[in-house]
Amino acid sequence: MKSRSRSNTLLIELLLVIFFFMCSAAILVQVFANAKLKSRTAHAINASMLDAENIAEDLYSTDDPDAVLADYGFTAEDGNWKLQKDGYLLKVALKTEETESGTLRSYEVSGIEGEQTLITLPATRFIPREVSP
Amino acid sequence: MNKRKVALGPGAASLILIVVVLSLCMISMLTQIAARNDYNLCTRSAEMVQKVYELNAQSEEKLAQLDAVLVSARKETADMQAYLDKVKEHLPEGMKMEEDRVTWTEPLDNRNLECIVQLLPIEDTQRAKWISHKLVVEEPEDDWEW
Repeated sequence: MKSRSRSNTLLIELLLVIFFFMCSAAILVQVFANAKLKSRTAHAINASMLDAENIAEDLYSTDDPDAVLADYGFTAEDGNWKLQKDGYLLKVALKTEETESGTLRSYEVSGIEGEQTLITLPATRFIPREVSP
Repeated sequence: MNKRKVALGPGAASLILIVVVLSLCMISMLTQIAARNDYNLCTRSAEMVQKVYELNAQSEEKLAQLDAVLVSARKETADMQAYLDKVKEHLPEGMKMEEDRVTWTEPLDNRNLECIVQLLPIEDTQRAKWISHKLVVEEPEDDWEW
């Protein structure tokens, strides 16, 4: 009789333990998932920043930006250049403005993850033109 | 065979649960803190890089403004001294001129980009060339108390 009562108590305790473990596991999984998401975004920011810096520098130093972007693997879409990388999208917008003394070329290199813009690097280069006095 | 009986008394399972859940809580908290710090560091680093690029872009735009002044001054005179005087007279806002050098500063928050451009002689096909393009960071005063 005593043994049966002890078994019942143990069984109830085990059930309660399993229930509380399930509850806490559900919360902890959410915390881990959140941390992983943050970590992935941080990695995407870092990687897109490095890529954007490289591209901006290359665009600054070249005379033919379209060729440089094509070399990187960008494709022209709706007036912008786009390249899908692992986990983020790189977008380059080019703008050329003719001034009295030369050409002002502006680039905007952006890293985008889903709907969120991770980084936007503006790069401008002024190319003076020879003007006869 | 000598079989040992494993006794799991009441309360043992609860104790194991507490230990396991507390350990998992600690691990998840540390993971979360590490991920958040990593994210904050990356965001701040990205902001800094962005600011430097914005400063560079601003300096190029200012150079374009200066070059427009140089072109119009070259059209008006062929004498070097008169040319320099004309440029000094029509310098864009925020620029200073000493002899043949034009200096200006591009400010953004606590960062300043100090730019120096040398004006080249009238005979030269080029009108100006970069001499200095230096980023200076004003560190906030350290208010840590040791």
